[in-house]
Amino acid sequence: MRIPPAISSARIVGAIMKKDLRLYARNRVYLFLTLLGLLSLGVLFWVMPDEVEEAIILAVSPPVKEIVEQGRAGLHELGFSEEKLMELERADFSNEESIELVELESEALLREVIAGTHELYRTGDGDLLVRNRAAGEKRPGDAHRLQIELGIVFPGKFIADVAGGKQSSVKVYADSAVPEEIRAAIEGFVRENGYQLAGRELPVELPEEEAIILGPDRAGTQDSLREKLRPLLAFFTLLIETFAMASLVSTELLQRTVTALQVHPDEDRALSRRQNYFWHRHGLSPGAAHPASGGGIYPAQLAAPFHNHPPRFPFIYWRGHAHRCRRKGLS
Amino acid sequence: MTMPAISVKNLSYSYGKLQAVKKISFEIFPGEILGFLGPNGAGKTTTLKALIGLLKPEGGGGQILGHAIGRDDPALRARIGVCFEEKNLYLEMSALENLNFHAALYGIRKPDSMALLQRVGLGDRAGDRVANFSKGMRQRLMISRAFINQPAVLFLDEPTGGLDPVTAAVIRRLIREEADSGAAILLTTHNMMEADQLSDRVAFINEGEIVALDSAENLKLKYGRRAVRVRLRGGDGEIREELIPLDTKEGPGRLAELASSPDLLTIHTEEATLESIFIQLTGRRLAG
Repeated sequence: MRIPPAISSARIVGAIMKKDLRLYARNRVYLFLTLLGLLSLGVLFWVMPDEVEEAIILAVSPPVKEIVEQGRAGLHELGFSEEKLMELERADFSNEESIELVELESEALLREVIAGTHELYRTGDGDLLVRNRAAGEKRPGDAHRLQIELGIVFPGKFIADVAGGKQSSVKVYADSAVPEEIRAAIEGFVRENGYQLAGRELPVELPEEEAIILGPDRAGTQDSLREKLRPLLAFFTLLIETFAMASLVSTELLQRTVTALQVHPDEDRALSRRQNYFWHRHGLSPGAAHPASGGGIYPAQLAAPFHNHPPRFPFIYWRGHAHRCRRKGLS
Repeated sequence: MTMPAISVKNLSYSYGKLQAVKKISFEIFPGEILGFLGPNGAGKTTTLKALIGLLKPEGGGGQILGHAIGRDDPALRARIGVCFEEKNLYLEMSALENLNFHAALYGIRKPDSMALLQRVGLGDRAGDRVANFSKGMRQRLMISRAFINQPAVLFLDEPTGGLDPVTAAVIRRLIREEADSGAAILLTTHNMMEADQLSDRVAFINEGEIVALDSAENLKLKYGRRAVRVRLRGGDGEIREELIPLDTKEGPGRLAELASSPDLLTIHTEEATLESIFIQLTGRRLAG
């Protein structure tokens, strides 16, 4: 008598995965897309900067020392001691958090620099060099370029005016590419420095609404683009994997091999459920190699996008097809 | 008394308003081949799908190897083999890989796939991709896949459809061998010759109904007309033929008359064919 052997679920799942991997590896289109995906994702990951440039380079004209010098008489009249003025002159504004100050001699130069006709370079010794790009001057060697997109021009009597409580006007120059929020931040910076200089609130009005930022202060600990890309890589990896799975399932349907599976003892429901479970929840596919090429990925990041909404459409499609097959007799 | 491997009673199935199978009943015993003979659209494949569990019967039922028809029964599936009409093989896998994969789904730990491939004449092509196989080779692989679990019941849907005579003969031999080893086989076909040569019994199915079920010999005796075809040379030198029915009153006398004629050339007996009987019973041709 012919006695059917006992069927092990693990063996069936293993056989299905082995079969799928074989079919995947032997399909040149899959293989090409996988290799292309591997390569491009890897390259993209390593091309992304690993550092965050948090400082904004801000040009100031005239230099702070000059501003103080021009306002010296008025400050004396207001009762500022010479010692206090010396402190102001020595003040190092370049230590401002997230803002690096570059002091320029004239408003005209500042405008040229922001407009891009002139370029600023800083040497290893900290000296500033100006290159007239429009005139075709050569780039200075052993110096790195300072990309300046924002500048502030203070009027000659700025200190005296603010110390005396008078309204003062400050020009802010910005490259057209500078976002609105950065310009707003610079306005805030001007107010704050005015307050430092005057020692009291500036005679300006502030909007009633205040921005409330929730969460920890990320100043100095911001994520680099590469770090931000990690979850995206995980998402794309699973996306590629899902497409591959959908493609394999549709091939099964088109070649009608699924009909042959339906007459096995471990019929279609168990087969598709296990297949779905293993491929999607554990990411056991060639697609899982993608994040490895990008320097690895955190398990939580890999699982996170699908914890709440696992991709089930190929499964549903297969189940729906199986149901229709049974109901209508179409295989 | 031998129990039937397949016992079907009043099985019915409809596709919407179209009743594809109308209360059919039959039995197949172990070691027997039942040929389901009928034209395309007669209900052969629908009956087969209802029996293997791909369709849920609307009415009637029965048993296969003691398991009720129409239930989702893995124990039954483990003991049946199916060869579909469409060649649903994994084209990018080799013949051996195809068989080993299906063997794994049956839980067979060490399948003798190679021996099976040699048996169907594919031993030397075991490692080749199925995509490179001819139609006949794919069909032989389909047959070997149906045999992989040594089934007690085999369902074969048009197993020689569109094949050359040599390959068809090979497949018929394999089917006969399985039956001889004790498997009950339901063979659907619209090939009259195949049904005649291979089947122990033949069921004529037309428009969802079994119109006749018996051995081919008995069907011929029951429905066939005895006749002889006589060829004679005419007075002008032309050859003429005459068909003489023997079951009529005048027939034997006419045959005796012509047999003594000096113009007699040949006498041939005219045997009924399954096709002629099918046409007689249904008014339809098998190939239609």
